[in-house]
Amino acid sequence: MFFLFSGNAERSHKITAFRTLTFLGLILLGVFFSSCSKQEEPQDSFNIAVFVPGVVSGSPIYEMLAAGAQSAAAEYEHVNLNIIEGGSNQGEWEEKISSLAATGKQDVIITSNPAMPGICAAVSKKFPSQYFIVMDGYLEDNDHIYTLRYDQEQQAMLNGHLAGLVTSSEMEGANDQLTIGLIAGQEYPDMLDLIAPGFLAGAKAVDDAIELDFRAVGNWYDAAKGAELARAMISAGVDVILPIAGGANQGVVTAAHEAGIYVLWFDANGYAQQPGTVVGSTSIQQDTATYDTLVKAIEGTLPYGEAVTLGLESGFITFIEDDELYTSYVPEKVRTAQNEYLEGLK
Amino acid sequence: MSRLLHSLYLIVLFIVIIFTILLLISPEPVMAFEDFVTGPFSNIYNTGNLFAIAAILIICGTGVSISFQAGLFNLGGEAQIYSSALVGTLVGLALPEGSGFFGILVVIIISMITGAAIATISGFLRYRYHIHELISSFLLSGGLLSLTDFLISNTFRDSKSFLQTTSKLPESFYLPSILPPSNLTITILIACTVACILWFWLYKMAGGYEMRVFGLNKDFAEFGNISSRRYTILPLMINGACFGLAGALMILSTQHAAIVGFSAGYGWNGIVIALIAANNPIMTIPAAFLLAWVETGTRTAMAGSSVSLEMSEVIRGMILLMITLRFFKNRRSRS
Amino acid sequence: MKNHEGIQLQHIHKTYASNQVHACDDISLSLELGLKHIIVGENGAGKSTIMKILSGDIRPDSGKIFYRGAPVSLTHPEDALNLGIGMIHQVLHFFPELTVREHLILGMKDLKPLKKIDSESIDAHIAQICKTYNISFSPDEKVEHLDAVSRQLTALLALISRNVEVFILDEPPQEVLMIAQRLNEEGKTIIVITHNINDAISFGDEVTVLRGGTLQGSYETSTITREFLANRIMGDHDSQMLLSGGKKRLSHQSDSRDLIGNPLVILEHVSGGDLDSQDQVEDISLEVGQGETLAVVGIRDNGLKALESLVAGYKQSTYRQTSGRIRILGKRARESSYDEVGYIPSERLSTGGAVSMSVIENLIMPWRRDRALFRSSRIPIYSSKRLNKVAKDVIRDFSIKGSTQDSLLSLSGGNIQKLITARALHHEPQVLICADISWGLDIKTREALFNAIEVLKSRGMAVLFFTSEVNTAIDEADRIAILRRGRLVSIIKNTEKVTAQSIGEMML
Repeated sequence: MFFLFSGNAERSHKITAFRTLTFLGLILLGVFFSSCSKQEEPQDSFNIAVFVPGVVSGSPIYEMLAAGAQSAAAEYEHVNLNIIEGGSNQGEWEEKISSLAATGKQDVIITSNPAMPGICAAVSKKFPSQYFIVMDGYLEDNDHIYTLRYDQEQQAMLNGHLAGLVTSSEMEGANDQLTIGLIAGQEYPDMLDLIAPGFLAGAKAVDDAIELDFRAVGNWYDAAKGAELARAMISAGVDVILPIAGGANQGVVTAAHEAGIYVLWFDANGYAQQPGTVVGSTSIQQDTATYDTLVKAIEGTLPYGEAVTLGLESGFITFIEDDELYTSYVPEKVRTAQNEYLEGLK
Repeated sequence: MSRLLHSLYLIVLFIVIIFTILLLISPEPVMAFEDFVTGPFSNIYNTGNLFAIAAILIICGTGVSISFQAGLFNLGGEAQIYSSALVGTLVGLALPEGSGFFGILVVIIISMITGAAIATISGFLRYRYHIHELISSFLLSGGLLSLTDFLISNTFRDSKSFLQTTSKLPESFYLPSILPPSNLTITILIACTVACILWFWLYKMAGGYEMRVFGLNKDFAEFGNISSRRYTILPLMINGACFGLAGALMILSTQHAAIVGFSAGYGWNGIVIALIAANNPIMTIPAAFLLAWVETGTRTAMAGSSVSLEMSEVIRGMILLMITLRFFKNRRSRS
Repeated sequence: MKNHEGIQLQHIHKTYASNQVHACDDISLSLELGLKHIIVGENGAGKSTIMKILSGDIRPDSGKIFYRGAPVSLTHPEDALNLGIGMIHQVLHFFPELTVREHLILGMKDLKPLKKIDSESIDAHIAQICKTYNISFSPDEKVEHLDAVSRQLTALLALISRNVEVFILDEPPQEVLMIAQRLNEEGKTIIVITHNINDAISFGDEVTVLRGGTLQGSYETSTITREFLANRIMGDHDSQMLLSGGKKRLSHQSDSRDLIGNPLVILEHVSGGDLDSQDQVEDISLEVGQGETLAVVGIRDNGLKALESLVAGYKQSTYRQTSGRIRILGKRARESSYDEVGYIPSERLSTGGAVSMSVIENLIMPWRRDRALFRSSRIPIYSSKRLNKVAKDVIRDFSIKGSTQDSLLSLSGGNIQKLITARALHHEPQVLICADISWGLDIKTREALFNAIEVLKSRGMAVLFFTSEVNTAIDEADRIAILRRGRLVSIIKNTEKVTAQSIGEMML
């Protein structure tokens, strides 16, 4: 019976504190010794760091970024590739990218996200010799940063046109009301200035009376909130929604499937997300674009300081028409009209 | 001597475990391990960041130590940092652009008051209505975190930025840098000063003495006429003010704007620090450096070799577990 | 050898690694079953150590133990309990949040993780034991709310419910001794560790004397005198001190005893207490004058503790005064400063100090805001030099063994008690409220404390002394107030005619 034992005297805090110090001291000693034995890297290699502002898995655009970088690196023997995930804490991105630049070992850091040009420019001030490539972002006139973006307005117009066709069609889930929905992760300049207007413009090309219901989740992960917004839209008469909200997209798909309305997909092939519910998908060839850009960088021919915008004609943006799920679920009349619009834009 | 051997033995075990994890998850375990251990000291930038992280951790840990010494559990650190940082930032943005030193001071004081006010609510509930501060601070924090997220990403959002953030503070609000290009500013000096002042108060002044007695033995405190109202509320107030200070310093030295979720984890890490330091403010300094080293180590390991974000979290978690296990084991009594 | 069926300890040696104290030096001891054995000796004589060895709590460096003729190996208290040997320590370790019942369940031998606990039969079992031995407390009480005596009773209950045959009691309070007497009548073996020679002779069948870790001898109590026992415990030199009890002092004071000085403590029709329990008092009126000791004797949970708390103004959330008037130095309870009214609480570890704090820190509690302890009168920062000086003075004056930086817990029980008394007396208060300070003290220490109180009394200090030990009251008090079930039975002058028996009868 424990309470019949005599107790030991309590250990004094000083001993614990002393131990902490000893412990720390020994670790630092170990660090010191091991850093003495550190070897230098061979000079002729070319090191590429891919900084993913988020997590690769589950995000098509980052998956393509990683895949493109990997295939570029595989072509050259002296190229070392390193993929670093930045996590969802936006406040840490700058520090993490800085610590990459601080190693001084990276010949180029490639990343992708409209927010990254600003962050890279800030890091570039601290580490002026570091080169950056930012995909899906735009920044002119920094001679150490090359940016490449896709014409998101055009891409949104393609989605918007299909949305217009669907809402005014005789399709089962379409209602009489001419309202289409756009759910964004958050409101950011490209969203407000390019995507949303493009989406509406595409739809208005079908019928000028179509109206847009735009809402933002407030983050890029909350699927429950995504579903909630989608339901609110549906009850307001929306019958086709384009979600651009990262992880929250899943919630939108679920809600749409339950209500029997339609969803469009942005940036990657999304038909398989929910066959019959996802009826249209635009994609960007970020993997090819990444590959091309990195090859130029490795060869030393990349014009840093330039900011490139890739449009529909470049082939890096497409509307996916050849997917079986598209042809089987979408009526031919709609598909024909969409194809005409696509060809017209090129 | 056996104590030293015991420490050595644990360190070896520690290294073996980390290495085993790296062996399993990293294509280049040796390099990853080396990056982990030496990375924080491989260049000025990383070393500076280690100090910068340690500075914030010292302040958080010291604050938590104070409430722990009074026998109070403040689990609301996350929101106390985050919300008060937002309030501080907003006040800073409202001040004229060239406010300089005066502006910095106002931001810091406002943040401290906000943090203290949030924590004081829990202290008041504890004293007046006997609602355990452990619960109330945690729940309050949950609500405030969401509210702050909302305010940053909606009401006060900088519509020109691609991030979910408020506008940036003007440069006159930046704290003087110590080790450029790293994030280290005079925060480390502030942190050590705070730890020393609170240590002094705790062990050399009547107020700290009374608070420690109150934390150790409520009956003895009552015997000596020590006010239970004061020492239920004051320690939480100090704790909250420390968190507020930490939030303000993160804004003024590193972030320069309140970005959604920027301070995530510091509230909990403050508790870890306090536990390792056995609630002694001075000992939070080595404890914070230990934790900052783990933090920077995992970051450099991730930057240097292909360790994924999740795996780096796993390693960090393992290390924290081992550290805390070690310190809890020491405190366990025989029975 | 005789007593083959008893307990035999042979050539036990034990040296503590932490301080190299030779606590047991070749002790060989035979204890016959069914008797009441008393182990006496000064603090540090090795009494507790040898008994902790017998109860499996400490392992001896060398030596053998036989029980009922067979050699036994005791590596853990559970081993001893399985044999039927159980010990109740002076300081007990509990889970404060658990109730008495839950502690008894934890102690049960056939406790299995998945087995349902039959609390009804446990309650019935507890009720039965309580009835048999006349113990009163509820099994639903959380242990943190129990006082020291009730905690001892809880431990005793646990031992009884495990059918222990040999009870080892380290400095038991009177309440536990009374039950031990009943247990012995049922044939159980009782071993009591004590400092109290009176208890030793009146309670025990056989007395074993230890001094400085060595055995001085075992004697049948019927054959020895107090003088002889004192001599064996202390050596020839100091034994006179042991025998000069309070009676001697009283006789030379007896002339002045009728003249009670100016009353410093006045209680008028005081009622109140812990309204949730039996610990209440009703209509208490008494006065304590300058230079006198009034002892209030009673049973702890039947009003003694309540009266102590009301007078000291302590634990006001639990102990409420419902009516009447308390005036100490003309002020209400608690309104006077600690320098005017000293208080030595009955719960010396839980209320009297913080165990993990240092001696200095425990000592300065009442004067923590005194400028004399600060570096200068303007800066309120403690000066280590001045703190140390105060602490060293007290340690020297009261010959406390321990360094000023040690934690309170590292001091022995006697030294802790001295420290708490020293703190109460340090600034020469006009009134001293104290409770049961002699419990667990050796004779020298006890004498030193009462002498210190005596000196201040002669300068006019009034002492209000709460105790459940009738003998202490008779030894030390000028007048004795007897409390029964929360009411004052009578207040008598402590003359030669007063005996423990006559008071005991009035208490019950």
